[in-house]
Amino acid sequence: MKVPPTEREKKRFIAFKIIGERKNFKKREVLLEVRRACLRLLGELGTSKTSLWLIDYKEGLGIVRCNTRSVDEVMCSLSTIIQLNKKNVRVEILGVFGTLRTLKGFLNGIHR
Amino acid sequence: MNMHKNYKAIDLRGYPCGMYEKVYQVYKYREEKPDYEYLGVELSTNDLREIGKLKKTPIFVRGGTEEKNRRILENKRVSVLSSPYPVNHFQAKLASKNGTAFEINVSEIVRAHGYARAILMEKLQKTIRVARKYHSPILITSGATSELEVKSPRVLVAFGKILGLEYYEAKACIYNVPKLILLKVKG
Repeated sequence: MKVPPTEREKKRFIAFKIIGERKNFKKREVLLEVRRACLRLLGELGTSKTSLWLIDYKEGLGIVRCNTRSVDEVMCSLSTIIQLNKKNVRVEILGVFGTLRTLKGFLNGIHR
Repeated sequence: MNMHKNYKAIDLRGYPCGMYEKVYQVYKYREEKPDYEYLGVELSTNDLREIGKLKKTPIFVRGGTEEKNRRILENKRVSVLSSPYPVNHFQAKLASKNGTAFEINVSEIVRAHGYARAILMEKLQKTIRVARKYHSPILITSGATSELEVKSPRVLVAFGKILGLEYYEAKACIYNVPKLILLKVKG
């Protein structure tokens, strides 16, 4: 049975940029590090409440999805990433968006 | 183009970047002064006697024990108490009377790992709980020492929120409180 729109979980999309010695990481590497950072800061129970998902990562720009209740927790977890594949990096949060369309519009604005 | 530029913020202990209105760099009292426009000084408790020599600059003092914290907070010229734990109700009252802010340094949390991070966050949460009750000023700083440690103002607000502050309070901690401290320092 289809879940009615009012029963669905509200989502937020967080755009981030990886700045550092290297940018061309694989999506898998970024995914593992995001998960690890979240587990380290929030623990297993805390992470279970975030509905965390890495949607895309390409050329230093990434998108993470979470629910509306845990935007701050996920942002903090992302900003605790200081090393990725033994390279020093910084994760800069670009913004929080309600839909993928607005996020992609924002990213297109960056590239222009 | 960055969304977070819309946030008005002053970082009293950070690394110069375009995301903040003003960024202060903090150096230790007996060490060499960096060549930068906005500077703050970090004193040790033994150097508190020489506080009169420092004028028109925010003064940071690192806390430790309850006794040490009380001695620091009794001095009206101290602007910020760094590592503000353990803090009790008496110290919180003193801080709100003298206008001394408790500093939450985000880089301390980022650098710590495992159980040490859990303990640190627990202590900061306790400090925030007491400070909120007695209306003592709280200051959130990035504590960055290099370009790779810079945090955006929105992230500082998020850290404030996960430590127990409300959104509007966390926003005040990155703009209104530093502004008041700078006004107090400059007389």
